[in-house]
Amino acid sequence: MTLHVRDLRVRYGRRLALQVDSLRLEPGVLTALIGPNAAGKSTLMRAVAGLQEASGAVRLGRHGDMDRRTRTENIAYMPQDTGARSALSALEVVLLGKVGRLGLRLPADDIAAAARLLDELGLGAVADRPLDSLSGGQRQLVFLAQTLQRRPRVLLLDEPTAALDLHHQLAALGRLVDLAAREQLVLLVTLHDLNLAARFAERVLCLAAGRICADGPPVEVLTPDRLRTIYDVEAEIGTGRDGRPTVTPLAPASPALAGEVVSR
Amino acid sequence: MSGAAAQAYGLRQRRLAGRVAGGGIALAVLLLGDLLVGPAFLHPADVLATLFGGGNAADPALHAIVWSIRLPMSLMAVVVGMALGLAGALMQTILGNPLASPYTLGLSAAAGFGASVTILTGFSLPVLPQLTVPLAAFVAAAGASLSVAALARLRGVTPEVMVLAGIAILFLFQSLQSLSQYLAAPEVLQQIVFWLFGSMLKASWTGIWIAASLCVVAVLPLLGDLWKLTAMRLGDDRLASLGVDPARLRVKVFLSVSLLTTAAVAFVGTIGFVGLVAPHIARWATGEDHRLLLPMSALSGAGLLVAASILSKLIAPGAVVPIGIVTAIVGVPFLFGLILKSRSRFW
Repeated sequence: MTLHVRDLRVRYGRRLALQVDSLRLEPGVLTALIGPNAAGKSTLMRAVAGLQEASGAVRLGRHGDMDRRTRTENIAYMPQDTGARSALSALEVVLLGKVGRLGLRLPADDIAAAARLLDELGLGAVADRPLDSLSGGQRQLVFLAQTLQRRPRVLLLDEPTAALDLHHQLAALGRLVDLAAREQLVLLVTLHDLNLAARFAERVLCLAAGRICADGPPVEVLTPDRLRTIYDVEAEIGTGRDGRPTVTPLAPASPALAGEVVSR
Repeated sequence: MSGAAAQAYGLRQRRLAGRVAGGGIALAVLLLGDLLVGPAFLHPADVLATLFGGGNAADPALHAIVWSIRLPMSLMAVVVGMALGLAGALMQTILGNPLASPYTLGLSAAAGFGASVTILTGFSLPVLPQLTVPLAAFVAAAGASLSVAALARLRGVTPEVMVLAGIAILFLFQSLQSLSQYLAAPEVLQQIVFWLFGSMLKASWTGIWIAASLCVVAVLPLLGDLWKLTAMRLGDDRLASLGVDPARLRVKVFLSVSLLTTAAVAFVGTIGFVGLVAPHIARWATGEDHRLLLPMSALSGAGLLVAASILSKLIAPGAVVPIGIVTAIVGVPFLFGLILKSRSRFW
């Protein structure tokens, strides 16, 4: 089901932090959300998921506008790792994905599903280890499994690969692309690594100062000019073996900043 | 592979549930021990016969000591210990802090103030005068907890806001309590101080029934929230993203904690340390799954308090030292043991 967002506005006090007039996210593909720090990426995700006070409308497929509560139930948002310390086991953390729907006795199905998810993400061996004994990357994958345990229709992932090594970045994003195609999920992923965005996303949304400033396939969005205006960097765009663009950042674009870095 | 993980989880859950059952048995043994000791130096066989019938159960003095003094004191220790253990575990969860106890947010100070003022003014209810002081303690503590909850509601229900509001309330009521003590005549002061030392000598069957009912009322609404409480340890952001409103849950749990704590404090006075250490013992035994953690906290709280009650009767033969004085003596070795022994982090 397609996710429609209309006239989404978020204000922090008087400041208009986010203004998205219209956004459609099609199911089955990975859409990357890119943009510099403080562009409003997390705000956009939290507002769509109903976790952030916002005006505007969000609809899923042919259903009517969803209120905040329905959004929280149907749209799974995975926050960045908040570093919560807990002695809960990895499996228990995944089980908590369904926290609102769990009774005193756990259905065997839920436990099996949680164990399977951990297995698929390569965490089968640490299922019974406490969360705070896991590495940053493992924690991030555990929380990804927790989010998937909810079996959502819409998946909004905030920096899911930030703590992962190269192998796990590729593996996790590859699995997400497969999952989105197989279950026809709407999948929006914040990525700081533009090469990953270019490689895995069918579509790249670029957010700057709370507004969408570019929207299209990676090859159209990731251009030297745009990276200069948005990120303030000089970058070289190449073409990878799979025909997708590759991004090599070269130097900060604005001379003042560049000079400062060199003089240090 | 995933089958193995699921199976291992099931086995572990069963083992942990076994520990809760073990805690229940330990409590029963302690309770029996508590009934057998006392300043009257009764023969254990006589006590047992009076309790379970048979023998010279007809002896009225024996009957009175066992049924009107020892049993109420012991059962009150169980009820109060359970209430404090539960309240402590819940408080540590909602404040995300291992130092939190039922008294962190000023509830005991408020209860003490309510009691002091009533003792000072000599006011007494026209009906059921023996409930005057407990009721005053209850009303004052309820007022304190509602102010903390209201303040948090206005400013955002985060642990930081609640702790700050609670500490302010704590100092306010401590001052008021000191003031009422300063103003009191010496013999009234002695009464006040005696009330402030938690003591099971205040126990009565009426008190037990009222306190136990209040605890049931406090706990029932939380039965559907056990998983949410477990998830709270992952942080508010993640809890919210899982579809649970952390602020609402926190206020709801805090009101339950207030009811549990005031039920405990109002009838026997301030008993410290149990609410702090019992949750740690429970967390060590059963982990953070609140389906097991909360029952285990209640059992550890009751066990600690009953053990303290036994000790309070053994320290000075022929007398009963107020239990509030000895709880830390029983509890501190446990806490040290946990800090030193615990294999994984216990918080």
